[in-house]
Amino acid sequence: MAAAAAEATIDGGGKMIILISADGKRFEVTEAVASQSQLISNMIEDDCTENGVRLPNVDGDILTMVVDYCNMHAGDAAADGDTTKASSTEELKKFDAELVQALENPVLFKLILAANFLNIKSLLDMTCQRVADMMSGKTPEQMRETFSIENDFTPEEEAAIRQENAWAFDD
Amino acid sequence: MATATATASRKGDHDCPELPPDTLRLILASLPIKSRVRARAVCAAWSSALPDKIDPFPWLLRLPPAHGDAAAAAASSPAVFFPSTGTSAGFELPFHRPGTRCVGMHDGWIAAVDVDLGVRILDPLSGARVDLPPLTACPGVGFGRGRASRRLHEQVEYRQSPTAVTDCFARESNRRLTGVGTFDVKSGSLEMLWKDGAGDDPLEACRAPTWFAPPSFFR
Repeated sequence: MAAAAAEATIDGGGKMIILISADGKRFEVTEAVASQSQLISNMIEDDCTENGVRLPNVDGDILTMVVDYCNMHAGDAAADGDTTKASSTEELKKFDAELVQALENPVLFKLILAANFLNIKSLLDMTCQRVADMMSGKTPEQMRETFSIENDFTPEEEAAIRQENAWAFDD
Repeated sequence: MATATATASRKGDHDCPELPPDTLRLILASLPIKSRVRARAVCAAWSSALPDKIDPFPWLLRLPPAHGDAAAAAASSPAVFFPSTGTSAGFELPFHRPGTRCVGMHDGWIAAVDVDLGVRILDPLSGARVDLPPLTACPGVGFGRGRASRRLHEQVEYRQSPTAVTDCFARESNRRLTGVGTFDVKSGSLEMLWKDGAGDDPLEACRAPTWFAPPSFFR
């Protein structure tokens, strides 16, 4: 079944690849879409995607977003003159903005981990920028609150870190 | 597969998973230095992931015009420009009041004077600032916001000199007030005093708290 799918082609002419999430969900994408992931691109070169690509640390719901993203961006990566498939820049910007804006923070973090693992630079940059925007101007307390991070310092450790650069904590 | 799932759900679905150090550094790379320093105080993992020393890229300063109308000054906010990356970052002048003038720069610090003749120096990268003793601390200076005071405000300068790092002076028709400061980057001490004319009697001395020093972060 997977082998048959891997042999299949679509009108774009690319081979199909099956991605399998941690919870066993299967996603069928073209090589052009999948190779935006440097990890998968390398696997394609090494010819080891025949039986599908297992991604043991990416959940199905996260992989859905990654695949959506890669489908949207396949046009600009390929740049093969097939303008009917390539999404317009405007559309892409809107899609990207909506994708990261709508996410709950834990999901955003998981998406970052997935982009990092799959090595999709544009998605990693975009999601990291979103987190950076949310951290900007916040105190450490507010950062912890925003991202539900536990303060695991002892009071002495925390005081020492603040003391090193007291100027950064004066308001 | 089972182990990966277990790791992901260890902290529950409502917590953010831990980010690897490389990714954390990538996120913070675009943030102002102040935010990066603050992020080190969030939790142990972030603290160990983030470097405690950062070399800033070479930078240029863009300041609003020193002498110009308020509208022109407001239109061009001060910013630090990094030629190597082509990026710039805005910063706030140390006085949030109209009439604040930038009067000079030395060793990465810029000096500003406000209409009440308060003088501050500021590191625009970190936002660290130092209050210098105000000019009004000098006897005979401090006559409100009269014409003489305004003229003095316009004449404050901040220069570098070989020995004393800070050297502000203000001239009036019959007076010359010189502020001399020594600024020891290593020990983090700042000593500052105003002198009247050519006399050697200091008008006021002040030793600043150590955290006024350029943050250890940069140097």
